Amino acid sequence: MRHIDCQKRISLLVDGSLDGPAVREALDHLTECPDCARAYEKMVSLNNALTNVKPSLADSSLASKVKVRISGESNSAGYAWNFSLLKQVPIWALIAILAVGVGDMAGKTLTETLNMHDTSHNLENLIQDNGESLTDVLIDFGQSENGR
Amino acid sequence: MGRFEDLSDQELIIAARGGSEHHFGELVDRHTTMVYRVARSITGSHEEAEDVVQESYLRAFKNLDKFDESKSTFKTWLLTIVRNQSINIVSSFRRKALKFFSDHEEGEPELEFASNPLTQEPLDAETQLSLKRQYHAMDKALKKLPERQRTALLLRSQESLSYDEIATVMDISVSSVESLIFRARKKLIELVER
Repeated sequence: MRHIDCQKRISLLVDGSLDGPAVREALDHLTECPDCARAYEKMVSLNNALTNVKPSLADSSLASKVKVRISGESNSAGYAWNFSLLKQVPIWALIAILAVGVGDMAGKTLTETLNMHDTSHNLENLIQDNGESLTDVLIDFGQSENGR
Repeated sequence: MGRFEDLSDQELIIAARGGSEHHFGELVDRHTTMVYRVARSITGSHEEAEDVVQESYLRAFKNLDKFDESKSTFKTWLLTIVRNQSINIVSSFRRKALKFFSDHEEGEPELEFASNPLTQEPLDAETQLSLKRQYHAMDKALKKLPERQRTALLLRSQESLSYDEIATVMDISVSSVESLIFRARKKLIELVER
């Protein structure tokens, strides 16, 4: 075996990536070859140095930042989903809804349409519109209440 | 302690695909340190590594439906995204321009020490100091390695990925991984001994 191949095997031995017979063969070679034995020692020591100390995160704020962004993304994706549902309504259905709405308003102004509710009639019965300003109406109303 | 600790990555992904941010959050808690370390080793910068981590998780979350569990694990899929993102940042023109005009020195990273293998207790202060010195020499030498060698070696030595997993992350053959790791070790020993 070439020396370079042998050292490559040593690297695999350090990682525990050789199978049974290959491990035995590599270990036998280490007892015979001082160069490879030295290379093995150095690789083991290097591996320990890399394993024993590693950069780390001081706190969990990075994970929190990620989660906040995911949450924001998830919410905007929700809006997109609702919007996409609307897109699924056929265009002819939207035109039909619009036409019915316009037809219902036919002959009336928008204000009339909106003021169709009963409460507007009740309000007219309570305070008669005599062409007075709102302040006059309120003063009259206050005086009549005080008179009681 | 998280509510989903007992669940596997695969179970968390199934729930996350159903729209559960909390299950995806557990995946974030589980892998962020590893993802940060890989991004940092490629970019060489704390700030850029943080950006890469955020962008990578966001990309993973958006493309969760594209993740194919028959081809890779979530960990290797995520690391593939992280590596690609990191390489994109490092090779961007904007970054090169900023590096050229800036003399910003990268601060010392927070370090995590392994516990005593025999007692499982934290190492004493003196040993930690000696390991810290050793780390700085090693870190300096690591920066001189080509990205492919450095990434392959760190994925093996620091993240304990198998050769198969590294091959998936880097999209190369297992024998290429073996060569990269061997060459990285050889070169690193030379650099440290100089």
